[in-house]
Amino acid sequence: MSDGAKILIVDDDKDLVAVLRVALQSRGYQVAAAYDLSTGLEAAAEHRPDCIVLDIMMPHATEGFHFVWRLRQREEAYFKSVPIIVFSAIHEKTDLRFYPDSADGTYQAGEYLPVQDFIDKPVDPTLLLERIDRALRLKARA
Amino acid sequence: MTDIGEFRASSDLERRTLWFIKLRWLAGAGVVCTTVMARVLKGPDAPVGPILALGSGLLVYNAILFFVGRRLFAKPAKGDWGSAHPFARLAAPRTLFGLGDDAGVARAAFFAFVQITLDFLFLAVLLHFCGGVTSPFSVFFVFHVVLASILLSRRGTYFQAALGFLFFAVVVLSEYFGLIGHRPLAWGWPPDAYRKASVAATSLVVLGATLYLAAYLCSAIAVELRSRLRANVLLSRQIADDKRRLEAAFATLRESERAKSQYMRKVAHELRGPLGTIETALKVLLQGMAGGLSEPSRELIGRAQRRAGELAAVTHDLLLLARAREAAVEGAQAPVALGALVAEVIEDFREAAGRKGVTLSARIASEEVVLGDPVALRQLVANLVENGVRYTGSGGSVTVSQHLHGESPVVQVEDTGIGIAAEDLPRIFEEFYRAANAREYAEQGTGLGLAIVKEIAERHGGGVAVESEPGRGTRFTVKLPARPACKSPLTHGEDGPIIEQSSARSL
Repeated sequence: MSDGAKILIVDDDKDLVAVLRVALQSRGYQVAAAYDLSTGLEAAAEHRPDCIVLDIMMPHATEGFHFVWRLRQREEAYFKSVPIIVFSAIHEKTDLRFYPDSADGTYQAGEYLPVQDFIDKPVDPTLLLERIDRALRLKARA
Repeated sequence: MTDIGEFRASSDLERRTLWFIKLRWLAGAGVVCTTVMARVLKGPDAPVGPILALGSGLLVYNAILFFVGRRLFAKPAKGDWGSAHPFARLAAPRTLFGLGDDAGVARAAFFAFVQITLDFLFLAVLLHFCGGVTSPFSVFFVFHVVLASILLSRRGTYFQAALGFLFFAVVVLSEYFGLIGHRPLAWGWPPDAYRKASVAATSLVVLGATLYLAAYLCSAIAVELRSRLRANVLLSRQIADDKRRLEAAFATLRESERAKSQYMRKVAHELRGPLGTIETALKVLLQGMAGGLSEPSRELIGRAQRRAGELAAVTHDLLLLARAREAAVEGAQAPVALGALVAEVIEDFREAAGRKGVTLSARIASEEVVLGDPVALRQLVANLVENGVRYTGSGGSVTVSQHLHGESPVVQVEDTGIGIAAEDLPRIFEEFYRAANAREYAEQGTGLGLAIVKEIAERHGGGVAVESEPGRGTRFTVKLPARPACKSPLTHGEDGPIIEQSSARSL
């Protein structure tokens, strides 16, 4: 089903992480979790996940965005191409724009966010699994 | 009285006292001119020397009064005029006391009192030089009593009337008893008229009675007018005071409204995170991702999920409502094409309507572009359409039309649904209010959708109205303000922002 692909969940809500871990593991994914930006970056470097699931609104409103930028800024090709799926509530107003399926590493604040997909909160586990599958498929094809 | 805030109880008195001085210029000029004319007409024999001197004297002391008055009234009265000067206390009209300017009132009245006294003295001397008891100038005593009644208290007026009478009597009686000479005027009076007891007595009685009557009548009227002035001033002050208090209360109310909506937003925001996690967890459970479920477990989790969903819907709507309330402050302004917006919303709901067997259609009669918050306006139309679809059964229809009513762009959402009872109509825009038949018909619904609609419409300077017939259908009409300058996106911007405080501040 998923060949044991590694998924990293970065979210400050430990309960949600636990829930998503169950959902992802039920599909045979290996799951790693991090609860803030710095450990998230470390975990990404350490585990080299096949896909990262990220809550864009971690404690400090833009932390998720910084995570994406800092990750994508790393030299290694892996960091520029690893699929990222963000979820967030639709009411959050920011001047940062989502732009799925753009993984270009050259970006500035205020530019489109180089992530593969985004889904609304509350997270629908089925939808999340679909999107992860799709992101992995697209990546495999690339 | 121009401005209530600036009103001084003494200002009328001061103005009239100065006007009194103006009249005296006229009197002085009159005396001088008359004597000059008498000299011209009657030749050098006319006894005009003393009268000319008196007229000039009048002009001189009036000049002094003029400057004293100007200096005196230049600054607001300070100190204790009312009690420090016995005559000031006597002269000051009581009805003007207690209006915050007692010293000013006492000062102006005292000044008038002094003038009237001086005038009586002058008149007495003039009377003597113009024929004493036979002089026509006795009329001016009455005139001064009238002035006294306008400027002084009732007691002050009687005092002045008595003083005037005293001076008159002194002249008449002194002449009668030969204490001073008599200077006849050629008026046709017998030359010895001043020696006749009947003439002296009659003139004393007549003048005395006239002065007393004038004092009585005029001061009665003056007191009444002053009482009315006083009542008006007190009322105006009360109104000004009430207005200030109302404004303060209104400001507090607005502040608390703002705080309320901020609080609502924070609470909803805090609730949303945990709720989202609960919903996701329940979904994971229900979909068997955490292992198989017994049928009772599935059912219970299903119930929990439905209730969590209701909570989430309320939180969501509360956030929308708070956002609509705070939107006016932020003022996200953009040209919004209403026709296109309606078409988009219809598209969003087409599937849901189709599932229910409800026909959803649009009638766009005008290409109106309004200035507003595009997200909010879309929410407004979406809430109305969602409502229409929710409360309309299979085979019914929901029609959204957009047209002009006069100059105002109007969006109308009309359904053939269950309708709203007349007694519910006034309350349906209240937060959390749901009509009984609505609860019965559709379990879901937060009772916030129409509150959000109303809020958004009002924040855009418009309003929303509803007509309904139970069992036949409902029609919501949203009217937005006319802005001819915004007809096309190209011409907007030369006008101010469209959003105005819908609650006018003019109280």
